[in-house]
Amino acid sequence: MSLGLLLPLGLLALFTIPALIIIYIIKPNYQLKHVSSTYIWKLSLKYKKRKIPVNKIRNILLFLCQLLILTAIALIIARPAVFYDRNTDRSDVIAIIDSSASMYTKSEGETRFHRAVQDVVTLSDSTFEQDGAMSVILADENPEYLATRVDRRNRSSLMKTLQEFLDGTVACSYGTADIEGAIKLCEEILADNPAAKIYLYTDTSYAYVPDMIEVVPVTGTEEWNAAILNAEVELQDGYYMLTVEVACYGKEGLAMPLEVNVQVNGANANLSDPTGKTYKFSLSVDCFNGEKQTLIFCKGGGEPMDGFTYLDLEESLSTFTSYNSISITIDEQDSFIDDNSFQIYGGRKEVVNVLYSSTVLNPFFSSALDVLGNRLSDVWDLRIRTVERRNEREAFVTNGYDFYIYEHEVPDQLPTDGVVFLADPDKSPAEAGYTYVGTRQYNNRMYFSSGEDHPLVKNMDIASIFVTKLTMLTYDPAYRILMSCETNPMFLVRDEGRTKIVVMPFSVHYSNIAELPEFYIMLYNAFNYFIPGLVDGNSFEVGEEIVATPRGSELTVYDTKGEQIDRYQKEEGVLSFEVPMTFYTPGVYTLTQNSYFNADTSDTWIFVKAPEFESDIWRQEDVLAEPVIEQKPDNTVQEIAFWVAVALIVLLFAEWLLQWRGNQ
Amino acid sequence: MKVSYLNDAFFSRLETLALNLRANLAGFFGGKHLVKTYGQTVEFADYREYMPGDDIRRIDWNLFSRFEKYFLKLFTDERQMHVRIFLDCSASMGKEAPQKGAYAVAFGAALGFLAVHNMDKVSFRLMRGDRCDDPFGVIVGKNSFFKAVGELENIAFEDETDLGEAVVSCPDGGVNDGLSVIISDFMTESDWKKAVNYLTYKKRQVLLIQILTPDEADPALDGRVHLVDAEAFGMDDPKNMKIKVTRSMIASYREALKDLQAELKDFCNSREAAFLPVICNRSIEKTLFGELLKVGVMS
Repeated sequence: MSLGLLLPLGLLALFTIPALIIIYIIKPNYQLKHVSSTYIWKLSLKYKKRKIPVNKIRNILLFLCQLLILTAIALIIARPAVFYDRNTDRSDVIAIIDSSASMYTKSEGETRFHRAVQDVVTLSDSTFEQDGAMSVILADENPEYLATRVDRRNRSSLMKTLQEFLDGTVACSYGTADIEGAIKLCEEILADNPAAKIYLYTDTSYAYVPDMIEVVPVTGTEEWNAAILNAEVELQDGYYMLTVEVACYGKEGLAMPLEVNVQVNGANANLSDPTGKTYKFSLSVDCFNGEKQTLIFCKGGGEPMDGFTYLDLEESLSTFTSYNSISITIDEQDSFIDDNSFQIYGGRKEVVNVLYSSTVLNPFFSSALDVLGNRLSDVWDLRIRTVERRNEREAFVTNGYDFYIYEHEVPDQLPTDGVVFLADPDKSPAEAGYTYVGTRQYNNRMYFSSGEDHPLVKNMDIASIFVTKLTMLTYDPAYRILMSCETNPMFLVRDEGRTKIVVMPFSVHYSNIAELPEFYIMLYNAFNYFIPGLVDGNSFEVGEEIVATPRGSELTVYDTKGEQIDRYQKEEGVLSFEVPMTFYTPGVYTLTQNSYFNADTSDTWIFVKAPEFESDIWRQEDVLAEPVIEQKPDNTVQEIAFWVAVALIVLLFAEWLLQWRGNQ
Repeated sequence: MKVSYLNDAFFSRLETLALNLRANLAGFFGGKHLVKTYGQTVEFADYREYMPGDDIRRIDWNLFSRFEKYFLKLFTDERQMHVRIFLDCSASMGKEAPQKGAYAVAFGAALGFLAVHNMDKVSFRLMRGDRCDDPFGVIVGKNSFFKAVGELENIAFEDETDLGEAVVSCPDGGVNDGLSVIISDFMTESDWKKAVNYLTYKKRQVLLIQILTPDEADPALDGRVHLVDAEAFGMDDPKNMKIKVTRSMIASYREALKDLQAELKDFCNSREAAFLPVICNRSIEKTLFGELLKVGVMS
């Protein structure tokens, strides 16, 4: 489709534009008028003065309007038209190459993707011989044109691109293929040439295929796949239970025996055996084509039933309560090897040491911490120590913990290696940034009001909390006030570099917070905010968005080969540090984060695999989407003078409006 | 083209009118204007007790017979008024609009006629620049008046006038002896307030008459106009101006003129003076019989 003019000579009317400019230049001078006095006229200018800038803009707009009017008239004379390139005589061929992970299936020395590209090369050659045009779409998660309507003369760029695929310089994706999106892309070409032929090179078979599309299968006859679809561990009675889902595709009518091998590394590590043991066990299961089998490795085993097979780890003395990693493999020489192994990480949780120090131990605090420990047990190994200071000479514990809770009595010098939570502080420690003023008691309930919006008070019903006695403080501007009572801050947080202090200047004895879930929510928020889990899970699919929440200021990502691929740093003043990531190649990735409080770094491993349904290399779908062909007029030229005339009328009206406004 | 309103029919129509004076008058000559002081007329005013030195011929013997005390009979006094007519002779008054100048002269002459007709004195002061000419002196009697009016019709309107300076510098300003009339268009940057202040300070009754042409009162201009001021010296004079006359511009002009007239009126009210705007397409008789009667100058 292109725009053009049926009568280009009509553009000669544009010569009226210089005429307009000349008219503006030689516009008649001011009409001479003798008056008795200009005194009143000069006075009247003061009344009028404020409108002068608007007048200038109006004059420019008026000139532009007149210019556009002349241009529109010239265009109407020149008869503008839309020319549709509806060259149906020429052969238009569109090739869609499926670029999903299953196209890595290999037989007879070549992958399906390789085979598809070769077929497209052949198709291109034959199309060019018939003087046709070739378009190629690579259908991965985001389909795009590799070439659009390439003909014999400019075929080289297309052939070069296809050759890069054949050489392996550019690879097929490990994700899914958006075939429907690719067909949608074809609609652009079909709009110009409804007779264009679409070839889809895929390994998926369709029950219904539209007439204008020809599906070219690129599967090999002997291809089959044994796959580990998913695997996960779960704590059961203190021992891990491993569940593995496997399947076999492409072995029609045969029960294919699959042997699943498991290796648990670093199992049951403890102080005496910090590296832990390595357990190896395997289980064989008969798989029928397309049927999913679930293998369960656990202590005590289970009754076998249809689709479920158990292995009692106790028998092989392989039960484990912790692990570094679990490697699951299938040793089969199948056609698609990327789903023959699976890695599970996260079996050894990072220890978070929590200290609760008080003059009189409060069971309310202890139980809240226990609940929190259970709630976060899948992320952290929360080790809580309670210290009761019975006399003033007893020294405070101020190092070696990640989270310090001091109730009533607080140390003179706050710890610098962890988050400090001060509940009902009796004084102001050095460099704490607040000053203790005194206490104040009320005869009635004093309810809290909300302060700044902060992740620490997320999901809290602040208005329901009241106190009858509070501690008055003055504080540095570095503190954020999250709750207050009258003008007194009731929940303050300071989060600057290594200084992370939370102050709760009231006692739970003089508040209803102990009766409400708000205290537990507050502690949970504090842990999630200051010590968040890095990622939710340890195995993901290609193309899936993973949101990492590092607890330090830096996160580095390494690929399977140990090469750094990304590095993220927290910006100053930003409350939450969230890093969205997406991986496009299967494998094991290492996420290394630092800590605010020391130079240590901690590594987290995640396993990225091809999408589960890509393992079904003989996938069948019901319907292949049909492209929608835009209905266009039969004639290939459509005059648009009418629309220019409409624009002309609008411009004339605008010009009249500006003139009218100018004369007001 | 010379325009004249002054003819016998015009003056004969004015004979029924007389100037009214609100203020007291000083002076020696008798006239037709009653004043608050006691004099020699036949109109009774009041009684007072006889004082040694009083003319015994004025003792009312009837009262003596009743009260056995001497009382004098007092009579009202009548004085002659001096009407001073200050005529703005700047170019804006008649160079471009002869009708305006003629109207101003006729208006002045009409007031002068009323004065001499009532046996008052009149003098015409022609304001030019910052001075005031008195070409005819004090006119008493109709013969002298008509002679002066004959010459008044030939005066030239030119240059600028500083109303304030011209009035203040005028010799023989007189104190408390009658009416001062300033006839101008008041389209001037000069200090006309100074003139009014000076005349009221001299205890004279003051009347300001603003003469405008119909075009000045309601301009009929349109489009891009180069306005040339009648008082301008050449085309480059800053008094000239180029403007695009639009409806809003005309509205602004009317607003400005209205504000100027309001200022004149307010100022006159504050000084117990009278202000009368006159458009020169209105007949002088209608203005005299109508507007001047309303403001109380005429009776």
